Amino acid sequence: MQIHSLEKINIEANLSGIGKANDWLSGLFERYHVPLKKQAAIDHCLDEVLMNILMHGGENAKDSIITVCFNVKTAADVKEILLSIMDSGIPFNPLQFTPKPLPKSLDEVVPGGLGVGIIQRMSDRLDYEFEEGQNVLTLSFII
Amino acid sequence: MAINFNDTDSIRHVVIDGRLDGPGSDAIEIKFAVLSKLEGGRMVVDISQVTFLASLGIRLLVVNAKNLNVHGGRMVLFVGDNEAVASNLEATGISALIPMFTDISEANQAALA
Repeated sequence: MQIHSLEKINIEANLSGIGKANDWLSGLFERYHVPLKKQAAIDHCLDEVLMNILMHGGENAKDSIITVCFNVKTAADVKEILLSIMDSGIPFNPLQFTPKPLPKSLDEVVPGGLGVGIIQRMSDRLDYEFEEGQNVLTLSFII
Repeated sequence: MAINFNDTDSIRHVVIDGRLDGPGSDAIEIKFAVLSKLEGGRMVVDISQVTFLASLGIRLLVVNAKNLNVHGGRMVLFVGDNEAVASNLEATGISALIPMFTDISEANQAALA
C-alpha cells in the first residue's frame, strides 16, 4: 500500500519567489521528517532549478508563475520524495544536457553550466516532459 | 548573507557566511567583485561558515579567482571542517582549480606562495 501526500506552492519567477520557496520547503522537511542529508540535496536541487529558470528561461519565464509540488510516496519499505517544478520558460530538457568537461586550469574556465550537473548528481532520478507549453521537471529522492 | 574582509600580512581575508544560493550570491556579488580587484593581490576566501553553496556561489568564486589571476594575484579557499561545501567543490572539480584548505595556516601559506 502506498500513501501519497501532495504539497504545492506557486511562486513568482524572481529572487523573492525563490526565497519564498525555500521557506516553504524548510517547513515541509520538518513536517515529513526528511533526513538532514536529503534535506540538503532537495534544497540544493530546488535552488539550482529555480535559478536556471530565472537565468535561462527567457522572457516568458520572467516574473511568470512557477509551480512547485512536493509529493511524498510512502510504501512498506521505502519513502520517495518527488519534487516537480513547472515553468513556462524556454523548453529545456536537463536529461539531454551533457555537463562540460572540467577545464585544466582557471584560465580555461568559462563560468556557469554547473547547475544541471549538480541536479543530476544529487537526485536519484530525473524525469522531464514538456506539457501544454510548460517544462515539467520531476526530481526523485529516495529516503 | 554576509561578506566581510580584513587585510593583514599581505593577504586579504574575505569571510563569507550564510547561504550562498541564488539570492545570497546576488546579495554579495558586487562587494565580492570590488574586494577582488587587487593588482597582484593574495586572497584567502573563508567559506567555512557557508551553509549552502549553489552553482551561482561557485560561479562567483570562479569569476573572482579568474580576475585575480589575470591581474597577477591568487585566490585560495579556506573551508575548515565544512564537509558539505568541501565535497561540493570537489565534486564539481573546482577545488582542483582554486586551491582549497581545511587549515587556515596552510591557506595563508598557499596564498603567499
